[in-house]
Amino acid sequence: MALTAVLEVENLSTSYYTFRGMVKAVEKVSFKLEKEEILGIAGESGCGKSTLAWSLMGLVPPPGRVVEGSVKIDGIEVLNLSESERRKKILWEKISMIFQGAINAFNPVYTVGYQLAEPFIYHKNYSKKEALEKVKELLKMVGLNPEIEKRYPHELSGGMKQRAVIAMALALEPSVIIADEPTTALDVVIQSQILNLMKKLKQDKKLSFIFITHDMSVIAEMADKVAIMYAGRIVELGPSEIIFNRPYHPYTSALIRSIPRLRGPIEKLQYIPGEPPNLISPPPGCKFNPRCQYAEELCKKEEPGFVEVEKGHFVRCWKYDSGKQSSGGAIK
Amino acid sequence: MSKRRGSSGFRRFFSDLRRTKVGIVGLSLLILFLGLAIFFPLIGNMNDIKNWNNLQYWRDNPKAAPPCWAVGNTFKSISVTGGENTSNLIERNGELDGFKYISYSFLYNVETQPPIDVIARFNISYSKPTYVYITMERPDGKYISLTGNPESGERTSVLDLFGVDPNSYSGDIRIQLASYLNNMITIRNYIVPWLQSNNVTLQPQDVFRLTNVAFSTLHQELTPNIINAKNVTYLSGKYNVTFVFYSSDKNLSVALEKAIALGGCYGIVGTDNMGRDLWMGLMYGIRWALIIGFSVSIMSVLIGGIYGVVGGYFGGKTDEIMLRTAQVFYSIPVLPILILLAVIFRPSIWNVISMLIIFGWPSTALVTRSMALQIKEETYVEAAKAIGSSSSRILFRYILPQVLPYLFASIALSVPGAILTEASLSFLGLGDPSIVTWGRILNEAEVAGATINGYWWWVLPPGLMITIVGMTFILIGQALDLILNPKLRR
Amino acid sequence: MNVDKKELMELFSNKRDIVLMVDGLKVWFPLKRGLSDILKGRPQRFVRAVDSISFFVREKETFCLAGESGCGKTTTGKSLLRLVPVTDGVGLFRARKETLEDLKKNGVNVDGEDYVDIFAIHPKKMKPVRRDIQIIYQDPYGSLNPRYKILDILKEPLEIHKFQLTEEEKLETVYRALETVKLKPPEDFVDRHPHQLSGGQRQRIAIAKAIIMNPKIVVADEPVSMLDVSIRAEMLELLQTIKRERGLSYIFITHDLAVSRYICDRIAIMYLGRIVEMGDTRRIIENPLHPYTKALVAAIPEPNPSNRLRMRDVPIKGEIPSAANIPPGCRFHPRCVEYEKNIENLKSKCPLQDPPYYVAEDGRLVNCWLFEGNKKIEKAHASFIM
Repeated sequence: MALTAVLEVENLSTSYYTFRGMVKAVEKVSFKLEKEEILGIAGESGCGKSTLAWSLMGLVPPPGRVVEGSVKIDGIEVLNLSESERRKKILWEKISMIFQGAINAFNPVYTVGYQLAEPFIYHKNYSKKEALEKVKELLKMVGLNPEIEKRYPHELSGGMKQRAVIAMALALEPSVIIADEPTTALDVVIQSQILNLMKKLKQDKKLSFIFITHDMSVIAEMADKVAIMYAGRIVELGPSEIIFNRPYHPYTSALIRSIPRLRGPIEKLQYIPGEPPNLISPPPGCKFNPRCQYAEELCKKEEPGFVEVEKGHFVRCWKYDSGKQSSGGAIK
Repeated sequence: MSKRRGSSGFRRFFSDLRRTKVGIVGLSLLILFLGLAIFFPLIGNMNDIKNWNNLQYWRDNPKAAPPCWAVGNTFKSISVTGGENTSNLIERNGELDGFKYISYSFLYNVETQPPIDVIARFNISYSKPTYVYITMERPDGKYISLTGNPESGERTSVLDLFGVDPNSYSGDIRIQLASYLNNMITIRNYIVPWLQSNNVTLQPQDVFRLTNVAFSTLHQELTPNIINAKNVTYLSGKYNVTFVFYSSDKNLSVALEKAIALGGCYGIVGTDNMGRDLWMGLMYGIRWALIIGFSVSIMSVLIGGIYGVVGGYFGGKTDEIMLRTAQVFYSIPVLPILILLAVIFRPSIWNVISMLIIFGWPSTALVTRSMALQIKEETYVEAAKAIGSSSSRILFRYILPQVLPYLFASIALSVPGAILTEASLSFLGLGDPSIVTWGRILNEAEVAGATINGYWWWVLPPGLMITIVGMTFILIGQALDLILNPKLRR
Repeated sequence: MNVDKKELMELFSNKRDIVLMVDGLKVWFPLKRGLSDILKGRPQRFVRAVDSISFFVREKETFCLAGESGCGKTTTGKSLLRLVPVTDGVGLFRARKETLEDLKKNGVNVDGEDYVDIFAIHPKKMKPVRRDIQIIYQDPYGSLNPRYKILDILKEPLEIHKFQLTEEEKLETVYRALETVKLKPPEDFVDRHPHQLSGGQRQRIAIAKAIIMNPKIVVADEPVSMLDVSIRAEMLELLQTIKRERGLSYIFITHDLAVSRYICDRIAIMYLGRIVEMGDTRRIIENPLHPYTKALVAAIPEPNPSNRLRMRDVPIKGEIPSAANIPPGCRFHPRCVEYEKNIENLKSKCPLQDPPYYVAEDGRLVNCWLFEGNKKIEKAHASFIM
């Protein structure tokens, strides 16, 4: 309930105000992240998952900004804090981020150790010596040789760099860690090692992750709870087992069935015709309706609400929004 | 097809330019200057330019005169020619005592300031001794004889005034009254007696004081203390200067070509010390500025652009050689070389332009080479190779189009540099003396001590023009920068 | 011409259903030598991106090169188009008659009656071959000239190769190519620029460009890895349809084994410039034999939510070494768990000698000392009998 939820997001909306028009990148997103839980946020390009990650951190680049909603980390509302308060108290201490690739995270002219020590020195006022101790601890935690702190980022391999990025995110022991496509640029063997590391850290350190990726197999590998995003909205949110085995939303089920599988019977892969909508002038009603094989008149006119169809399972689809239409079961 | 693509590139470029404020200002100025440069013959006087080095052409203009709008009370030049009978000119002829005489009376009005000179040019023909008599009648009715008065028995021969054979001559003669009066003998003979007869007290040294101001003194209110008075008051009203030619030759003919009462100001930006109309020089200078600016910048940017792209694309040894060559040229300082060349050879503007191009292309080459190095690594360039494109195709259809926007910006930004370099050369006196450029005007101003003498109209306008034209191109270049930077980063 | 090549050519002549036969392909990039290296007489070092591989491709077949980044699969694909310099190897290609004629006209020595060694052609004389071997790139955003209209992009191959067509005929060809890649109506697309199209549409244009000259082989370099998951299936189906209708072959390069299971007929798993396992795709994925393939298959996540409750067990050690420092002996041995388990028996082989290719029961090739008991392939090219 609210007592154990480490992150509570309600009706979060973020838009970009470009000279071409207003892009509603994230629209009325709501979810809860419990302690020691991994929430996977899945979606294809342009669905808004990266903007969502930045919105939670308060790092939405201009011309974008959070338009409405509430984000509570450990019960503290963060959206109405000032820039400096957020920087001092929330950023990295309560919520941190694992970036995609060290190119975004590391400055090539400083050593790894120096950069890992920064949060300790600036946020917690540690001395250099104390910070170095902490850095070595962190490196060991992510499976790296502590002597690596003397090296420069370019001297590390891809896998090692990604471990260092994870170390950086763990530095101040935040309540929530957002991992934005942390393994997309990595080879599959290194990916498995990094994912194993994250599983271990979650268990040992009782961490909570938001895992953002377009790769549904990786989501299955990591997430307890899954949110499927489409055109800036969460269209389905629920336990991993339900999302993968009996998805309700037509988009979710089509997505699941478009994944090529390494094992098991070879079935014809499904694909979704058409393209994701233009977020400046999206179609009226349900944003998925032009590509949905179940679309009806209502779908084209009104956007369905985010309805809890079972405990902890939410769907945004007229098929399940009782009161307006007869609800059906899972779509197979 | 490539023509179509090229022209659509141009159109896109100009539409982008129009969208920025800086671009609009720059573009409008450029169009203005182009118009002035091209249509100069319609708005200006090509003869003035053709005769820029012909000092005789300018002798009827006031020298080093400021523009009329800048000076408060001033005399506005009046000029008449002999062909027309205007109210300012009265011609008479007749016979008297056996002499034929032809006289021209030139009338001018003085309000607050008198003219600085009266100039008259005649075409005369005679075969017997001929004499001249000049008088001035003032508004207060007083007459002054400026030469020997035949009624008193003195005759001044044309030899004395014009230096021509008094017995027989056919041709042009010219007189400037102020310089004629700027002569101790003339002052002693004619001015001093006249002043004394009008109760002006004169000391012996006043004769010297009268030189340089004799002519204007003739226009002053007559007070006993006229020489030493601090405030000068001029007598306003109608003045009449009469030139009488008389000779025993009944076939004496005198035609007035031009009579001018010269004001102390002239034109829109005044004159230089030779009397040349600086406005013409200024307007005509636009032409050369643009010619020099454009030819140097377009040629050096095109040569440099293609050179750099070719070197960057081919890489390897070819690139090494091309790069080092470009770097050598780049490191040679242009101005000292140009000065050296100008001293050794006869400076011609086309030599200067060629030299500026020869030393100007490397800077563009170095940049386009870097751009080519980057672009050739792009996937679509490799894809072009995969389908079998030749190197020249890749260069001209894949790489050069990406570099073109930078070249346009480069052209715009190189223009001021070229104009300034030529102006510097001309200013140092090493420019092409056969053409009129702003640098040359500035050079002549400096030599004549214009700054010391306060001839601001000679110095400021050319400098301002160089600045404004330079600024025009920088504005255009800046606008391009605003438009192109994101594209350059692509 | 050495004996090996003669044998190869005889083999190739008889196998009329094989369109390409590559033997001993090496692509070694020289590392820049510093002054001290030259002075000390150190030998020239190379990045051995492709270190002697052999394979063949049948007509109407999708042959896959799979592996992690840096294994040499992309370099192999590009070497067929001579976009990278080829250090060694023979590549017999059954080109079209017109292509062979054009090559002969340009003074190229055409070895066989209906084929040519594409690696022996001077790069500047490769142009006719480019009609028959084409490439689709991974990046739909970078592989199309941003300044060209779609019409120009698709017309360009026709113009470079001087197809004798009128403007109308060229336009028709372009329209048909657009329709083949399901961009309908084609008139809507010809005047647009790449940046006006989505990633999926751009990749279709890239496919259209690759097939517009009716090549025999198309090298597809990870053509769907930068596309959204929900449209990958459509793109793969499109590629299959085109293959059937036009009778061409794909060399499909991918790092995603799951995708290869759906599209590849035969697959070659590459590691550090060498093929470690090659044969029928499904059998290899369902039952990998080479230790590396086993690790690769084990590492790939599956959309099965119960996986999150376990650690993923991947039988491999360490990280990929640089291709400039390939380990001696079997290049995989430092990471091989099997070697570690049987170190007593294998220490005289794996770290010392490069293993030969062995034929497993189902006919696949494995490059591993563990299969020493099986039939050995003496000469690499004899492996083509499959």
